[in-house]
Amino acid sequence: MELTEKEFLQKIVTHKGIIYKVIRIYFENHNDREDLFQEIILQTWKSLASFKGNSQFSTWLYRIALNTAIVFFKKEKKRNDTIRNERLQPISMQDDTSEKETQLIHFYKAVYQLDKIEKAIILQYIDGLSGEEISKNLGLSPVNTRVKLNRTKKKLQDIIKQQGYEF
Amino acid sequence: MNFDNIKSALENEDHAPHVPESLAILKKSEMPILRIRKTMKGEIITQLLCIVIFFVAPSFMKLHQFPRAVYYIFMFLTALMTLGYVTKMIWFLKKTESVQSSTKETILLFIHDIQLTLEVYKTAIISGSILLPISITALLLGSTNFDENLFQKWFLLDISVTGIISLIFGYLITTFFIYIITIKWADNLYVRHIDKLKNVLNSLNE
Repeated sequence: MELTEKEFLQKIVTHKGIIYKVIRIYFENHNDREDLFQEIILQTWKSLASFKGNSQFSTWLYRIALNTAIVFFKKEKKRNDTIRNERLQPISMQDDTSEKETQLIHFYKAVYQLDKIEKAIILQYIDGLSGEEISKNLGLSPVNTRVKLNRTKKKLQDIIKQQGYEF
Repeated sequence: MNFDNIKSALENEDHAPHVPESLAILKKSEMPILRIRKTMKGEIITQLLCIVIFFVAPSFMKLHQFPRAVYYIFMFLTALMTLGYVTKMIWFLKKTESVQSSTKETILLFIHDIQLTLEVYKTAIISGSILLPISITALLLGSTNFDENLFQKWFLLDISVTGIISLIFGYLITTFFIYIITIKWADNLYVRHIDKLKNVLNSLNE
């Protein structure tokens, strides 16, 4: 696909929600998210020439964003180790927090304890991708994907329960 | 667990960072493979500069004809190996840095590229470093301040048996240290990135 830099950035503005979902699930820290956001834009721009248009731009961007997040390592290890070493504490909510917001807070808190592949699987599952699409994106067999998906959902539920919440 | 609620809550969130107006203002890449490329770019420039300096150096020194010839022959071989490595690096740098394949393919490609480049790098550095002491000795012993035959005798092993044995041991020890330093340095620079990628691959395969 041939686009000028301006046209490309315009396209990114249109689809930035896709990138946001990925960076949000991969990093808790705002600066790390910002770095990953920039990295995804950079990688998408570099890969643009090889985008043949066989799929929708948004689908292709989603895959680039996920792969970039998976091979992006900045500062992550130390933070994850810290999280693993922390005892899980129940999250205190303010009274005016809606049910959905509460669920989302617990969801994110739990998701940050998943590994990179588990995050990719759960995000694609929530986004409504079929098992076949997930396995194609990750390069896994459908059986392996199904096993991993079930394992990840169970792990996520367990972590949320440990937070003293259930939904 | 109701993922539909999560999905709608996720979609209602809109705090995406600002998209820059130009790609030029984006931060430099933090991807392992791109960090390696960056380090390699620096190395290519350093090595090319070293080749130029080594070829120009004898012009400022008074050397006998034989050591001068040996110096240039061995420097030529060293330069050839370095240039071979540099060519490989340039190929590596130009190669598409694709992240659009499946995740597994992308990681495998990254690991493969890094490992291949690393092996070429180690071989080139070690081979080059093994030849370098001969050039350096030619430069030191071949000076017109010394006897014309001094270097020739050393080079043609026209020295005592004890001298030859010391030379072999000295050379082996030097080579061993060059090898260890190169491996440690390369591992420190590159292997930790490969290990991180392998960990992701393992978690994909589990």
